[in-house]
Amino acid sequence: MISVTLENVTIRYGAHTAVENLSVTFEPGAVGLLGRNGAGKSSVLKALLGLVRPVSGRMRFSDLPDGAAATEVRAHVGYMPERDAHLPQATGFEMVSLLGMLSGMPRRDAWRRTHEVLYLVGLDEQRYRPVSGYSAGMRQKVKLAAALVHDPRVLFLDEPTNGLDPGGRVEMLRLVRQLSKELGKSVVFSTHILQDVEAVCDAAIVMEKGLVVAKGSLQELTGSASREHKIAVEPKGLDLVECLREVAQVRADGEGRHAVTLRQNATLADLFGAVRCAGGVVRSLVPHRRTLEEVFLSAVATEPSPPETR
Amino acid sequence: MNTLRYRVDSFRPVPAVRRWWPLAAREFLSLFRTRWGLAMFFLCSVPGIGRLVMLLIGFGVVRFGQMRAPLPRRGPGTLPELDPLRVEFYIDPVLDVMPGMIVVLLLSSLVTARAIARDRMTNALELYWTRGISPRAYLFAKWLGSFMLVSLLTVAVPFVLWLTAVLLADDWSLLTETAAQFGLVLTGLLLATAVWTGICILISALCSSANTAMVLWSMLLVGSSALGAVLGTLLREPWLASSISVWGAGAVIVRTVAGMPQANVYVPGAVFVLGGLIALLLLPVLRRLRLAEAIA
Repeated sequence: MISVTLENVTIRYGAHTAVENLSVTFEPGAVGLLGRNGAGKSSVLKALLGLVRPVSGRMRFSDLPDGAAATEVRAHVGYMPERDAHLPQATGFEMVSLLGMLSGMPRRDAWRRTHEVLYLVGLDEQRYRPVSGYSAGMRQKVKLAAALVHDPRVLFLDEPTNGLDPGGRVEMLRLVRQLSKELGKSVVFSTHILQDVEAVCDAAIVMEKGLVVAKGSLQELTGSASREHKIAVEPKGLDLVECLREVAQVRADGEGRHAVTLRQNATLADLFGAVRCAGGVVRSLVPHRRTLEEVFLSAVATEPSPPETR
Repeated sequence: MNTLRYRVDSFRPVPAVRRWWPLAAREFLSLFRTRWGLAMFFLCSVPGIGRLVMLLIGFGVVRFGQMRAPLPRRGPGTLPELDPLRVEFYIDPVLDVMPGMIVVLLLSSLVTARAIARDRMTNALELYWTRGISPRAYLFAKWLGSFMLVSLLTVAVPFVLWLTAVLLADDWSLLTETAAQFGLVLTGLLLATAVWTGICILISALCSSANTAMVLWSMLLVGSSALGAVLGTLLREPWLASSISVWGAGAVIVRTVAGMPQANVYVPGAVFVLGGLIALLLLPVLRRLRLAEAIA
């Protein structure tokens, strides 16, 4: 597995700054790239594929020498586009094998490998049918096979579950997980569907207006509110707001429970002690974990500092 | 989904400069992939087949009963385009508007004009350019494939006919008398075909739909011929007909390269029209085929 690092990367299209001073590392494993439309996700992918040249900063693939040519970089990268894309008149086999050859594979290797990846994605029975006659799910699969054919170490998947029915989506996510966990591919998973990231990725990067507004492992991101807990105490009439004033902020949830947020430097032992001092007993205490959706919404709601030109 | 058979691969990468060949080969074979395409190719081959039959009759290989069609001998009354002993017999069908231009128009409209425009329609450019091939190599590969296909009829057919005549002739005089000039003819035909398919592929690269590209190319080829003929007649400048016409200018270049006599032509004008057209199209094409367009 290899990691991909961007250091102080700025991408501009004329006067428009798409990505401003971005520094981020896509660690080995599956990393979700989240962001609204126009957040700069596609620009990051373009830059990593060598399709646009950043005006400043540098990008490094851990296994490639600095300053590697774009074509060399693309030989190590598999890209699955978001849009429906296929070669006119081509069967699944022809499309995948031709793209393999364009990636530098000798014809014999490309053919053998095409059979393997089409089998892997479950298209072995349909490989000699024209792609134009494939269903939406099959087209997604053939794009994934094309991204895999030259055995890249990094995969950029742009909305891979677009247009899939629930069964197809589960199947696609299972395959992506398998690629990352079992076959050792580094996967950058760009999507709007947060559940997909939760299902597949180890980490996530949230972008907004060309800047990274949140990043880290899913555990860190969703557990970053680990100072929040749901608590139930006996007796029920105990004034928790008053007795926990020193250690936590308290909010009643209306069901006999309270949401407490520990203050800085306060610990759970302090919380238990405060309840005991007030003559109560903690009956239950459940750490509150945020969903990735909450993380995303709170991250994009935080207005990033504006870039110099926009 | 299956995991069986998937294995980490290792291969010696093909150098970047050779990666366009599979794309060119695919483009070359594209017409032969469907029955419709095969039928069209056969239709376009009919003039060549007709010439072959004439040749076989002329050399007495094919005889219809007692009727004989003796090999024409050179003389004041012999039309050069009907004399297998002269190069005009082999190239006039290619360079004449009928059937030559119609054949090239059909083939190039079906293959060349659609080549890039159709890739753009199906978003195939995004797949190509995220591989190890540059837009310029892609453009070259697409042109080369189309050029090879059209050359089958504009270059290979006259060559095969001439070779047949050489082999059927009583002696080697046809070979010795026409070989040098025929070599130049083939060079001229290759050049003209390269220019015609080049203009057509550039139009294809500029258009967003295959149908638009086909219509534009047809209008350019037929329209410029018509315009040249009309202007040449109105202004009483016959050389305009062959200079303004994209087809006529190509024919002028072929005959010039082959050293064949021509009347009412202006060679620099023909070169200027074709060269100017390519330069005019090439600039916007290189802007349009940018890598950055690959991801929406």
